[in-house]
Amino acid sequence: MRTATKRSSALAVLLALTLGVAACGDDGQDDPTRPAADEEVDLDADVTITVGDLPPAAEPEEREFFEGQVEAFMAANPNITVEATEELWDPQTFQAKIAAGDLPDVLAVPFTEAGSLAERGQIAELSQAMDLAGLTADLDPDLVGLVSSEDGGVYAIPTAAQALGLIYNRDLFVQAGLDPDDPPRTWDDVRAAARQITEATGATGFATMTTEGQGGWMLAAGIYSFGGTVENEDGTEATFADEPAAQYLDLLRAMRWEDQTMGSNFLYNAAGLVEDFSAGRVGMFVGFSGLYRPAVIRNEMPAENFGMGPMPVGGDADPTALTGGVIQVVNPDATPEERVAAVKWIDFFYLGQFTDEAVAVAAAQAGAAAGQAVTVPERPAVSQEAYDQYFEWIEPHLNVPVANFETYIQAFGEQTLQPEPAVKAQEVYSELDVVVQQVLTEEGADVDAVLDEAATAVDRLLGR
Amino acid sequence: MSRTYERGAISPADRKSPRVRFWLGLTQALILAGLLVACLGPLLWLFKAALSSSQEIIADPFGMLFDGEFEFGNLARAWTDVRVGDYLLNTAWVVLGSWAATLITCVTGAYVLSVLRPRWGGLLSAAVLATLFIPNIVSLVPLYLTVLELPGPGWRLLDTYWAVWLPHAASAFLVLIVKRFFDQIPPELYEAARIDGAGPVRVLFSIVLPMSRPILGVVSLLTIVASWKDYLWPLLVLPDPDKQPISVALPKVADSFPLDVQMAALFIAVVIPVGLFLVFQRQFLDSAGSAGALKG
Amino acid sequence: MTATVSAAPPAGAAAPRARPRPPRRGTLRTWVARGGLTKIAFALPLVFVFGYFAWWPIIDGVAMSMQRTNLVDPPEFVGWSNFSYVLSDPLLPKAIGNTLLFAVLALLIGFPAPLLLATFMAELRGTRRLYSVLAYLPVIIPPVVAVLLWKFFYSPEPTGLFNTVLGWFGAGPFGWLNSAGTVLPAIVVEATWAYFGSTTIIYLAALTAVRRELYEAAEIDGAGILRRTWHVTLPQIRGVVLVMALLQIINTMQVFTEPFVFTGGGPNNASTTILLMIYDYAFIEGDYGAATALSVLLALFLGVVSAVYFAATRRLS
Repeated sequence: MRTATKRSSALAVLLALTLGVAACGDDGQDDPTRPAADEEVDLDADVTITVGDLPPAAEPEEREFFEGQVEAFMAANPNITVEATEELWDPQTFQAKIAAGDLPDVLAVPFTEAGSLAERGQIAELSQAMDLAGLTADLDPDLVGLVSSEDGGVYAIPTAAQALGLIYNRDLFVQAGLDPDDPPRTWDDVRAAARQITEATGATGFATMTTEGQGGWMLAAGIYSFGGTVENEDGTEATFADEPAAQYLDLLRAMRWEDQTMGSNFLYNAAGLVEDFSAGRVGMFVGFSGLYRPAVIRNEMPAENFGMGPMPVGGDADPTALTGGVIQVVNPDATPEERVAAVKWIDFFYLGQFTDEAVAVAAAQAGAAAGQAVTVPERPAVSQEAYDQYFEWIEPHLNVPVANFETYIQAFGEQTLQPEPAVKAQEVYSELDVVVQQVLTEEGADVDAVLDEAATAVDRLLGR
Repeated sequence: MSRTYERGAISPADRKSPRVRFWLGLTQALILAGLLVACLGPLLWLFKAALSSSQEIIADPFGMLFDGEFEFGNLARAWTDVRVGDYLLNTAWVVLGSWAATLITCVTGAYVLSVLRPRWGGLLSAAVLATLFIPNIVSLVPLYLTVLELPGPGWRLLDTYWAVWLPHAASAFLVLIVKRFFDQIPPELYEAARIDGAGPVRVLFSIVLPMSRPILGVVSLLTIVASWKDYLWPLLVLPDPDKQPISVALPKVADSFPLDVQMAALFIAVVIPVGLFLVFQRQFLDSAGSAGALKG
Repeated sequence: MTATVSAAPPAGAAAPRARPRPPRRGTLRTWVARGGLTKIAFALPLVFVFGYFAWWPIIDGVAMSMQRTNLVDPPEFVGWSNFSYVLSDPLLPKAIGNTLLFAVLALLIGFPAPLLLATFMAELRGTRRLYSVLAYLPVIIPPVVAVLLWKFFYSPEPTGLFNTVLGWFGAGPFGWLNSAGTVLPAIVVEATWAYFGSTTIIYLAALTAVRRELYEAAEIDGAGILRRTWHVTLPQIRGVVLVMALLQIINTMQVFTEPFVFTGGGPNNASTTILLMIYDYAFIEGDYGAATALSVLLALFLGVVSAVYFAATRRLS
């Protein structure tokens, strides 16, 4: 949003870690993920594509909106038939589905999957399709770089990015005598605020996700915020058994066992934590801005109580926020024509609102009418200018108290944006779940020993 | 469980003694109370939870029982939004198909092994028996790969109900108990039929099957219960949410609903099978008992 | 279902009779005329189903345990390296310990209850059906639904359902699933609740076959009710009891649904079982070789357990 755009230095790091794809010796000649260059692509041929991420019937308004967009897209592109499925990325079954080649033509996956998917030829190369489809969005080149190989192959289209931050309940802040417009900036502040919240309200001061790989994700965020790292650059070795990680875990240990401000539930996934947060039973946690939707829309937390600030800073480290995001990938079995259709769909559905005022306004209006969140600030996938422009267009329809995200947005300019571990991130996160759980459930756990043990496990995993 | 009550460890004379009667009555009452609390209690609690608001359920899980509030909207949402009904139908479909596949395999297989007795019957029998001693965990992963691509024809069974039905039918235990039952049928019966000109198919349908109702009941019960309770396998081979049975779908969809709707969904998922059970409890319990006798 | 073959025939059934074997020699034509094709046709469903879904996966499983495959590249033979990889996994001892502890706890908590209940119910007149129906109710509930319900009961908050009850007696609040010390017992209690009904019904059926004359004999010898139960009732159903115990051990060693849905193996791997490890290897890490290697090891172990168990119980009886 209306923020400074000084974030490219951070993304240099992203680029450095980008896709082992490049090095992975595809010379583009007999790469099955690429169509032959001289192949004729008939843009008017009838094609049918399947697209994932249709919202389940559990979310009738969102589903209706999605289906409406599918209709509108097919009306605008009469030769393309879109079949929407509820298929979505699920870490528990994704490996199996990938192995089975069982993905729709278009599917949203986290950034972390890009590297290994491209390397194994499990997603399509899209640069030709992007040209032919005339992708209009002004994509953030740094993010595109993240999903590109050195020789110019583009393996996915980024459509949303997030930087993690501190989500907090403004109402509990007020009750505890804290300033809701000035969230804690350092972990020491977080600890003090947690104590104050628990003391004044009895609610859990600070909680963290611990299961389904989300615990490891949040632990990684904590480690980076203290200036640490998770893997080395080649993704061959764990690097977290050191001081920054120990400092972060020691902080958790102190909050859990000394201050008793972390409550009693240590088996949270995102959904469970958000449920308790919305009910006013948790003061703060680290998460991404999109959690506004389950909290406010689904669990009916009063919108004005949802606040978000920047990722807390540990010790004397530089402010660092772990970034993740969503990319759209295309099934490698798709024909060139289907790839073009897939890119057109991605452009239309995910990016159209950033290029076309009419689309943006219509979507915002429809969303607001359907009781959806319009719209939660994120780290943009398009250029900052395009994103700011988009917010200007939809200003009259905003129903999210954007001011409550002010400190979070402002921090983009000051933070280093840290990409996720490049190799087997989800598997590593699974291992890291255990670390957080151990510190939170075992009184007197030896933080260094716990980290060493986990590092051994991760080394095994990466060495396999 | 016969209707005539023969004596057990307690003799009719004992039953007249006041001391025995007191202790017997007391134990009986205590156990009944225990069973009511442990087995019926959770269901009644769930019933009220399904009709309460999330805040009440969380704040005071017992007080909620008596607050006299009934929110029927939860049940409606569980039915229309969570689509519990659809998932239950999927479950029924999984169970029905597994039952049919198992019955066909067991009956034809046992018929070959026990009645038709071809020369290669011994080999086949041994091959079936061998799988009985190998825990099926060995084949979890390869079975999954088989379902991804059936060796030979290369069919892909993933996301089709065949992937659940057919592996269920490969139960050596069930084939063997049916075979053993067929073994007990006096061979004179079908010798006579054969002399009358009945072919193997007619012998099967007019003699063997009518006599085998008890064992078919047991096989049906065991299959139905096993596929009803299955979780891991359908989780792996039915990734499409529209095809998933209730067990697989519920933990995932539960996350995206408020607690009261979750409880209502659980309640519907419980009340329908419990209702069916109460209607058919006699058949159920009798078959369950004889199934155990066969295992023994 | 690893059941016993040494089972007795159903009560009242006649012993199998020997049948005349068909004559051995014959031409193709006589073979067809004798119904050779019909026999093959009848055997087809069994051969198809077992071929694809029992025999082939078992052979393939053993083969895969010595291969490295990611389903994309052709599998590569790697000898014992999957086994050494699995055996050196630092998580393995913990998973083995959890699995064994689970089996032992399930035996301690879950084994006596149905036996006692069935023995008692066998003495009931008129109300036996009511007790059976009540005890069987939890069996009817889909296991996953039961787990989700109990997950709520096990809430670690002081206002959680179980913690509220314990609070009336001044105990708790406990962390239940949130504490490494209580997570396994908590899961076992739920599993016992979910399964004791079916075992009870099986025992009850076995008890109806107990020979009554022996009671009278014992009575004449002056044995009281409890002694009669101990010395007459229980010995007669020992066969069923022993088999049920073995089946229970084998089943609990392969427990998956409960820990997976309750905790996903947490906290701190305190409820990670061997099957959860196999699942993680295969379906999270995509390491099918390691997964099958561990499966083969578990299967071998279960085979040994069954053999030892049978040898031991045979000596007992």
